[in-house]
Amino acid sequence: MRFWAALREGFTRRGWTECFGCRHFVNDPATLEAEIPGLTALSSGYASVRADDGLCRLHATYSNGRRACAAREGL
Amino acid sequence: MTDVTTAKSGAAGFWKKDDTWAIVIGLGIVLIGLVLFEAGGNLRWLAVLPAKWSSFDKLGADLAANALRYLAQFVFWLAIFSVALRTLGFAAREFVPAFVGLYVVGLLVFIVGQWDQAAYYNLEPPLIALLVGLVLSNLVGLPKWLDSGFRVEFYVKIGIVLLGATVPFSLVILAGPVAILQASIVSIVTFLVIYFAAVKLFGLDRRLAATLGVGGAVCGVSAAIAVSGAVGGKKEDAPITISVVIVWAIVMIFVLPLAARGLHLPAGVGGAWIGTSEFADAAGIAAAQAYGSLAGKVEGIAGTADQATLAFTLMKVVGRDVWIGIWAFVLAIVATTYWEERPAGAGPDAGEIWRRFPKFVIGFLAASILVSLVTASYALGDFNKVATPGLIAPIKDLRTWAFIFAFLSIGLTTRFSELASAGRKPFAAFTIGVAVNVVLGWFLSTVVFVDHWAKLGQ
Repeated sequence: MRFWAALREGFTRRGWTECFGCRHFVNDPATLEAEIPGLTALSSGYASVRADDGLCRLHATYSNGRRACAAREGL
Repeated sequence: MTDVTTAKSGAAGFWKKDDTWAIVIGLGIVLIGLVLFEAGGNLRWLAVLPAKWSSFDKLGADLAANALRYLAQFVFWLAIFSVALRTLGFAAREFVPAFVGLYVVGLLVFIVGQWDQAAYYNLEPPLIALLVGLVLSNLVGLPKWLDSGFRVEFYVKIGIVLLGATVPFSLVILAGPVAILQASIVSIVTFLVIYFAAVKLFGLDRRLAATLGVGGAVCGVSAAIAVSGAVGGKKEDAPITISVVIVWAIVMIFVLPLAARGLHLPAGVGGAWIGTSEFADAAGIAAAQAYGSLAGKVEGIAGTADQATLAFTLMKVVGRDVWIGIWAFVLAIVATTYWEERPAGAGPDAGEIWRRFPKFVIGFLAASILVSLVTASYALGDFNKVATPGLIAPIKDLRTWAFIFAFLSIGLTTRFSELASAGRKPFAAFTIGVAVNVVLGWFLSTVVFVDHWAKLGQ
């Protein structure tokens, strides 16, 4: 049931605060290529499949940036 | 702490993706080819490649006679790549010298490949390009800024769009479903094997296990970064997976064609196996082209070079790559529903399916449809006599250049000393998946669907 609820949420979710614009979140492709070793050898920071993913420097995670946390800080 | 861009790409980001430029450049070349073809001309003059040669005298005469064509082609590539890479944000002062070197070394690789004894000595251009690149980057050492011109994904996507122009759309429709079925079986099995080996046998984090799983099952490095982002992996998950994928992808570039040759597989069957069991588009195209180049030249390898490349592309691009958004979306749901909550950054969102869709595939399909529509009125004999030399062959030769830029760039950007240390457990989990993938891919390609792949396009 939890899966189906999450699936429904995935299609209908609105209004979550996102990581974009947070000072801890970095998704510039050139920066990601510099910080992720080997990324350019068989892929690219500019590939469509990467979408808007980026690094959260605060939590040391790599994410799609679609759900921000309480630590979000504007630039 | 504050860094550069933290924005959503949005509409302006459309021009900041190498998929977009692959479509623009690839379809642009196809459209120019079609216009010239309809007007009674063709792209042949620009699409120059070294001729077969048996002595340095003949080689020298051929190069001298075509020097102006090579110069024009170099300027053509440099001009269109400069526009694209400047828009993506690369500096011309870095890109231009890198591309000069790339073109010159690419020409030398073609020259070696066109030697009439090249097949005897196994000097297939994709493998030479890869080895030359690896030696230059790992033993000689090149400045990092030259990477601005060594854009593997950019070049290979342009090549795949151009490849679409040489594939009848009816063939995509007929062969696509089998490719999707075979690829789905292998992808799901490989993912589950790597995931459960990582979690159950080696006790790895589930997000890292998922990232490793799609790295082996779907499309290598690209899948790894897509799924790591979707599930909110740790910062080191993607680099770990990338290291393992690169090592195995490069090993497989050499092993799969060698094994297929040892088994005397028809070119289409070998291409399908490579498409099922390679881990990245550029690496797989290199392996498929290397194997295809043996068809008709090495005893026991039936079929044509095109069959190997086409079977690979259908299997890898249509069968595996296009589903990355769905993998990312489903795994994001699983991650946020069943795995431990992460503080921030990854929420399931159906928009992922489209955002992560490898858009260059649209260019591949559009090129196929365009050329199929224009040539639909030709009977087979006329097609071979008129459309093949006037339209298809020049595009195929320009495609070959795009691929050689990609193969060289793989080697030139793979610096083993810079890769993240993967650790024994992730490497072992991935390797178990590789073993299952290779055996299952071989079984499906050479037993279950062998008739389909052996007769592909005939």
